[in-house]
Amino acid sequence: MTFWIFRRVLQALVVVLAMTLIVFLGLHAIGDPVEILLPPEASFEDRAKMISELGLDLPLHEQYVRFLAGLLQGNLGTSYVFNEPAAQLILSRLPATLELALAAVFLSVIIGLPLGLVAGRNPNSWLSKTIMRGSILGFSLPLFWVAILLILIFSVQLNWLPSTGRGDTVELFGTEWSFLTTDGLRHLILPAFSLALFNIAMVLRLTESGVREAYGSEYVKFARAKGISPRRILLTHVLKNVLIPVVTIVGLDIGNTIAFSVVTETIFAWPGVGKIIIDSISALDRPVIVAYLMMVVILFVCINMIVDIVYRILDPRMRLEEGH
Amino acid sequence: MQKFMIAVALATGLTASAHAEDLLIGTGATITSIDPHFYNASPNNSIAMQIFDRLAERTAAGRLVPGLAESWEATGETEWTFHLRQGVTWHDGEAFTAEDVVFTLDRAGDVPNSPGGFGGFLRGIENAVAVDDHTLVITTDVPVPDLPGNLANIAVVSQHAGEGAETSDYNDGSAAIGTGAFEFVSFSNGDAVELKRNDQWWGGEVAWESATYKMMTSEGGRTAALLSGDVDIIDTPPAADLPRLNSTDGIHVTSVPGLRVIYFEINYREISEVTGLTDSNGQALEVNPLQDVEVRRALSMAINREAIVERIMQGTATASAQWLPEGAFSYAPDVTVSNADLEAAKDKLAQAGYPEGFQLTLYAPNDRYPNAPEVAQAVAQMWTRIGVQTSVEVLPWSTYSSARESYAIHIIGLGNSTFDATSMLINRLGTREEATGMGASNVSAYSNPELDALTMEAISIVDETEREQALIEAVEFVIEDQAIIPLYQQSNAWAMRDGIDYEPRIDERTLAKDVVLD
Repeated sequence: MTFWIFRRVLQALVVVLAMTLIVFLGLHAIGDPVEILLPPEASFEDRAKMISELGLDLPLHEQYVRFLAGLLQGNLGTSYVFNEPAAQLILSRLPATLELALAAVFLSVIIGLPLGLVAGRNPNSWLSKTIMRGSILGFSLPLFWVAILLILIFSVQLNWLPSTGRGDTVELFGTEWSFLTTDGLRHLILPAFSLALFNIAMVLRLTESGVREAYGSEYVKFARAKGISPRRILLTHVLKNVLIPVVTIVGLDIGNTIAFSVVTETIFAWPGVGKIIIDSISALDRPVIVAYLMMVVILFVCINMIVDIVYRILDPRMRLEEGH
Repeated sequence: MQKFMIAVALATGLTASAHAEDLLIGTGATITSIDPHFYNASPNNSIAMQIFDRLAERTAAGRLVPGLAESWEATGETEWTFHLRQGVTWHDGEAFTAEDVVFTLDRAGDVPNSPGGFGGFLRGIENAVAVDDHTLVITTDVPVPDLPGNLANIAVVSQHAGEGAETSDYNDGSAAIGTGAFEFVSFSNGDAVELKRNDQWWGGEVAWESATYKMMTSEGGRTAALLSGDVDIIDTPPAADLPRLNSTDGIHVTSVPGLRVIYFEINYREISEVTGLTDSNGQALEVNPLQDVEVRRALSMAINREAIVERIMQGTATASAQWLPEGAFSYAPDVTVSNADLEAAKDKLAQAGYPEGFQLTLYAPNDRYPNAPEVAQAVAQMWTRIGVQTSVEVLPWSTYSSARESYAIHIIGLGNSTFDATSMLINRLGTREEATGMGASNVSAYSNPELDALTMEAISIVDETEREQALIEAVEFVIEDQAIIPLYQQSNAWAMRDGIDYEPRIDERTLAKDVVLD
């Protein structure tokens, strides 16, 4: 088992290394940052100075080795346009993105779950049918379109909620959070809701099918026969069983939500990681793009590795298959 | 619905005027740094122009006016004397002196890791000496008649706060001590810049106690923010939204033809180095037909500029046959837009030896200039009608900009920070040569000794009137030779709530200090 874990960690490292190579080569194929960044009035000296300071005059393999050496020391390079360490830049924006993503997940549960319970309890009522048909919109409407529609209705027409930015923030645990102020919360509602729409539909549908299945099962029939109140059956017996797949999916989906927030952040001018990545790609700010991709890769590789290890600890059969 | 909209607009106006002393600006660009010498990009310069002042300033129309220097004169072929304003203090109360300017000129071209700084504006400067606290003498190694104009791009920073300071010291405010209309309050990158009024400013009254630039890169989001009253003024409103903004009560738009010209850059290299150019049957050509001036003239004649400006740009651009808007220094009044003439264009092609035309690929970026792909499509159709079968290839800017040297012909813009013809003449059309410093951004490989001589002569004339005349001659030469094919100047527009006003600037900058209360 120890040997197996060791081998698994080694595999993960190889994946990360391969990924650095792909990212590095890919970025060089896209284009040349010098052409994008230099103003037309730049002189030959400006150009030469910039190329040498950014290390762009070195052969590609040397740039790669330099990058790897930096990576081992935890240095992912300095942003070309911000002149700040790329890793620090991304970390400073991460709380805003996490806040948005978690708010979206929270909304999807508190909206999707009750609606799913209602729809599943009486599947033939008009209310349930309306809910289920409505949930199709959550799957099929493009995120950016919903976002713009929300702005149009709630900001422009009704003037209830702000359309842009993050609002007032309060410092907690050394970072700024906006969900702790009224103004911040008001700013959070529209982006979080538009980001949550897909998840609301998914949670709703999962809950609905779970509830319907549970009501056909033996244990609910038995509980009913015993005379337990319908309310208690729904909230205690049924809900507990329905929650297991919902929690699994919601957990898995946090990653997706963070990824989707790129679009939401751009539309709502939300100062998170997604927005800086879009900006950096259009400016070909290589260190920031690389730093972001590396963080994502390492995160996913670690999650996968942990999952694999936990499975093997839980299920002895998988160990036997490996023959170790 | 109409009534409802009016009610909303009124309510918006009312809530906004309650905080009339705070100006909220929605800007479409990302401000990357407060260090005014780190990166020469328009959004950064807009901020720098609030916190810092320059020796000379530009009006909204681009005219040079005194700034921290009250006056200046050429005191020799290669010597300039600047007389600095008295009684100016830094935001921290220290007195501003000529030594600060000397320090600035030393620093501006030499910020570590700069992705494109201000070195180009300091070309030729050999030495700067503070004769006394308010007199500065700058010597150059060659005559630089447009030195004051160049220095209008250089923010003057304080020596006492800036000595040894890095970009990060400006971003956190510790070195962001200027003499400008606003003091630095905070900068959170990707989000906002907050400023507060400097009541001691020498430049006159500023209407706003504080100003906040909110970075809003999404076009629709910017319009929505203005309509909903989240901001007072936005820059670069999307062209498609202008009719709606104009017809909304409580909102108005101001615009002016800007310095940014959109034109076709032509590849003058040998045919083997050019992609997107074959004969009419798709076979390889022996010579590059674009090297022939008559072919270029035929292409230019076939373009209906007025139609493009009216229908595709929806009036947000001005058709042009040169690269500067009317009224700018060195604008050539005799170079005018002529109507498209397809028959004459066909004849020209035939005379040049291409009666069957040829096949051409026109390249355009899809995320850089408004409507560039649509404009490319329209022009491709016009060219196809004279026998040059043109297809359009659209690419994102990051890929596009790196491969420009190989394109047969492509759309490009120039946002001109010299405010006259010289930026194009020196950097883009001058023969690429390190010794002369010309052609550093010459992607087209255009090289014409006659033009180089004209340019060199023009930029060394100290007398303003004579210099302008010489530059106009160079402009006329460029257009006569069809070295580039200009299309139009983009308009710069701002949309704002009623009750405030902003004189539209030809240089695209959004300056809080110049936003006035009606």
